[in-house]
Amino acid sequence: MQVESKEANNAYWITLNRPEKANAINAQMWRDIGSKLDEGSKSPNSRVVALTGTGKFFSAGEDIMDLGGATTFSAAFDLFIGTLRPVFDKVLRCPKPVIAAVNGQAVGAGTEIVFACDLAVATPDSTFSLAQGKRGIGPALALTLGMPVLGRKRLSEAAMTGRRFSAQEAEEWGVINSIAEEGLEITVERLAEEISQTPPVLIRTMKEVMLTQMSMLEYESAFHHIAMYSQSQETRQGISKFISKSG
Amino acid sequence: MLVESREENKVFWVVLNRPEKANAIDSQMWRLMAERFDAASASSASRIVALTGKGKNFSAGADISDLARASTHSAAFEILLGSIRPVFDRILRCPKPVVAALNGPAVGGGAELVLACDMAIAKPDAYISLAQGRYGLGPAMGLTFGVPVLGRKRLADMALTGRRVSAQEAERWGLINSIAEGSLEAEVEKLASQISETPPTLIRAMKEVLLRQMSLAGYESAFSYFAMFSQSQEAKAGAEKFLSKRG
Repeated sequence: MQVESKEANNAYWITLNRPEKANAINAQMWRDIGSKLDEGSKSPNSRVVALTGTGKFFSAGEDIMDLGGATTFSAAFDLFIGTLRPVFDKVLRCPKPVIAAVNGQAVGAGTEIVFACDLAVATPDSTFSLAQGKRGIGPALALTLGMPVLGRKRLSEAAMTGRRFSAQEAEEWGVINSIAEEGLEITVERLAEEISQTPPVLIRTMKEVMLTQMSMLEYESAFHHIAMYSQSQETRQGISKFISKSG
Repeated sequence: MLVESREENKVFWVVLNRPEKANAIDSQMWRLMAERFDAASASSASRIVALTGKGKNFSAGADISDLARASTHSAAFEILLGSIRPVFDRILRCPKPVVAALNGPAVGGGAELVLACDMAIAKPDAYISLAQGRYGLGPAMGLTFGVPVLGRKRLADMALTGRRVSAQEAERWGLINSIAEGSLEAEVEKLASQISETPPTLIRAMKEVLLRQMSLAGYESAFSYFAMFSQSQEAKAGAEKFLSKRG
């Protein structure tokens, strides 16, 4: 299975399992992640949901072949608003805190997932980047999800240069809460343990209130923006170039 | 010229050139800055605009003697909304990222310029302060730009105490993106070259999304608030205090 799940020690784990493609997420995987988030939200045996990856990458983001295949606005709409948005919505609406447990490189939508999560921990050699700009696609989602996390100047730099930033930088900036020196599983389980001391309904309320501070209008619009950009000449060229480079 | 410009290596430099007055900006200079920003926006030879100062200081902000001489609301309005606001508007609307390159301290309106820019790089001995409060003036623009950059608590510290924030602290806070240990110019050029990998339209679009998340209504009101403040007894006493200190 390209998306797996398991539940142990208060945590419901969702694991991306497509290491041969750097855990790039295709349409079926987005749908599977969505189902797992629904399951994780409902399960009485966990207090947090954790999202992680197998192999050297956390996730390389949106599957480039899927992107390449969205050659009409209609197809792009289906992809971004029909397939991706429900997953980001579920992360934001999940009654449990969703923790990004970053096991390696997070690129593009992979980094946007980290921004969307309530908390994040990472291995010391993890890296993050919003490379979409360089590929002619806009990291529109990062620009809204990232604002209450990073602040304007750091977010401008990350989005406009598309450069990689390290786990150490991510910790300094508040993109991740801590570096998991002792391993991701232990770190997440410790968080789950601490969180379980607060009544679930309070956790839900806190999450709702914090999210009101994000511009939900801009968040909603972001998916439309990306769908529209993806139809431009510049983006089609950027995507083709990337596909031919990745061989 | 009190405001100079040059273009090289993908950077359009706007340089405040009044070092004997710590690059304090008078009405004429605000107008020259606006013109230089227009030229920068129109030029196809550069990908970023960098704002810097000659000499030991970045900028001491708006020339207090100009403001002190504005003895009517009408005169103050003219300065704030007629001269100063057009420059801040141009920084926000510039299709290219505007980078504050701090060659030295940024004080008062100088600090507000830094807050308004998309990114900032500083020399190690630079500092930033919103010292207006001490002189009976409000750093009204700083209070709007500052929140999505610094967060409420750190902004409150800066604005309410008027204290100096070192380049090192500013970097930790995300108020500046990096410290230029060597040449400031080289750091800015490096940033320009990283940004050049992303198509210009995307950069423009990213900037728009980032700015929409700030309360632009708050930004707009700030200038008229400032114009009104400046007519109060406290503001006039503050301006006198400042002018007599300067001797």
